[in-house]
Amino acid sequence: MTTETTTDDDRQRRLARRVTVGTVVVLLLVAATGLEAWPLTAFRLFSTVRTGTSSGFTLVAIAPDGTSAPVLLPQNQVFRSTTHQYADLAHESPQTQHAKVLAWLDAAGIDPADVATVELVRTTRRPDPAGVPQITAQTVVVRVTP
Amino acid sequence: MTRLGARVDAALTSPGPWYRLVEVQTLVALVIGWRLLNHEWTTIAQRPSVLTQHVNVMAWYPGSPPAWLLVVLEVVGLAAVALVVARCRTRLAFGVAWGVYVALCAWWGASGKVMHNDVLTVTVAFPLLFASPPTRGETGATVRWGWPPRAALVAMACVYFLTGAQKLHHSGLHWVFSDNMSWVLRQGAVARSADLATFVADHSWLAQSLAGGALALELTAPLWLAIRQTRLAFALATIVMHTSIWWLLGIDYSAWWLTVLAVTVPMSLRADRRLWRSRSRAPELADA
Repeated sequence: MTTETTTDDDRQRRLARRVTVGTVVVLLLVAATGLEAWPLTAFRLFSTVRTGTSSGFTLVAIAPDGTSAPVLLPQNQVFRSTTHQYADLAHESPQTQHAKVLAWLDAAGIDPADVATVELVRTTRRPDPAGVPQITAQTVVVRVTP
Repeated sequence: MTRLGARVDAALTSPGPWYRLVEVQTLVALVIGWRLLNHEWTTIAQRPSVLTQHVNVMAWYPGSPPAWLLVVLEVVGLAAVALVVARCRTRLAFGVAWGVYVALCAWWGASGKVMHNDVLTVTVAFPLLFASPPTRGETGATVRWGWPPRAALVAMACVYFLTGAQKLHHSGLHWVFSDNMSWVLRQGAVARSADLATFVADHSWLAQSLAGGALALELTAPLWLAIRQTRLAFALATIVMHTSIWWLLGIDYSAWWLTVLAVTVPMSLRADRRLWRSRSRAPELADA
């Protein structure tokens, strides 16, 4: 074995330890702190227990004549995932609420001129004695005029 | 250093044959290429800036990128994958493919929900960025070519273990021994498999067995992956787990099981066995 080979092997061993231990330490630290800054993630996949009680948000467009229709977004993952921002909508500034609601209406192909107000509705479901989920509560969390 | 630590260190840093690194890096690059082809990346450009939530590696970029930039990045990424497969400027090409993949996935997922679909591939590929692959004509077995595929295995084991550990941390064994999996299936089943999901959900022993099996697989991943002879069994188990999630719940974790295959299949072979034989290097088997 030549000296050059030995030196390269030693250098590679140090690199291997740094990269491997460094990767593991970062993964463990991120998981321990719950940081979510993709691709750094806490790897919480289905980590909470589901029960029969569930709740979710729906955006509903109310026309000037009082008729209502759900704001249905495109089914691709990019737009569908923006519904996860519904939960924070009530805590946003009025300007941001307005801008987001306009963006969702536009994505759903709804003309804001045809809408008097948009309601964010929180729906809670619980199972009936037969185990079939039934709506038990519906609450308007926030109203936004587009 | 403890005896266990010394054994782990020796296993990580012992010499490895040139072709094992080539095989793992090529297969992981092909998974990246397949994922680059599998998305309509220009959809990102249609998402209004106000709905773009950057809490990721691309947070420095304001708003949504234009469609032309997304197409250029996809083409550059695919060209880089082709260079890795052709073993031409492999280290640089692999870095470019990984960087493009990370950027596009970060933008894709900037909608307000943490998306895990591609995060295993990104994490497992990370140690391979530091690898110095053999150039054409280089053969034999060295430390340089031995550690990167093993480091990728370590990263994979760590990710699977963490997914299981988080379930235990946040839910305990209640995650298995409750109606948890039944409700996951009832609330999330897609239309194509509603009947099957209902059947499983209505038989709590079956739902709990699925939950217990998934949790056990994740928590024991480091053991399965540490032993060469059990790596392929782990890969088959992850295929069953991830494809059943896709079939029942419609969530696409194909990048996960493909990445597992990309690393575990070559790493389940004996050191003197190649996954494929290069036409130009057929007589070099004895080098390792």
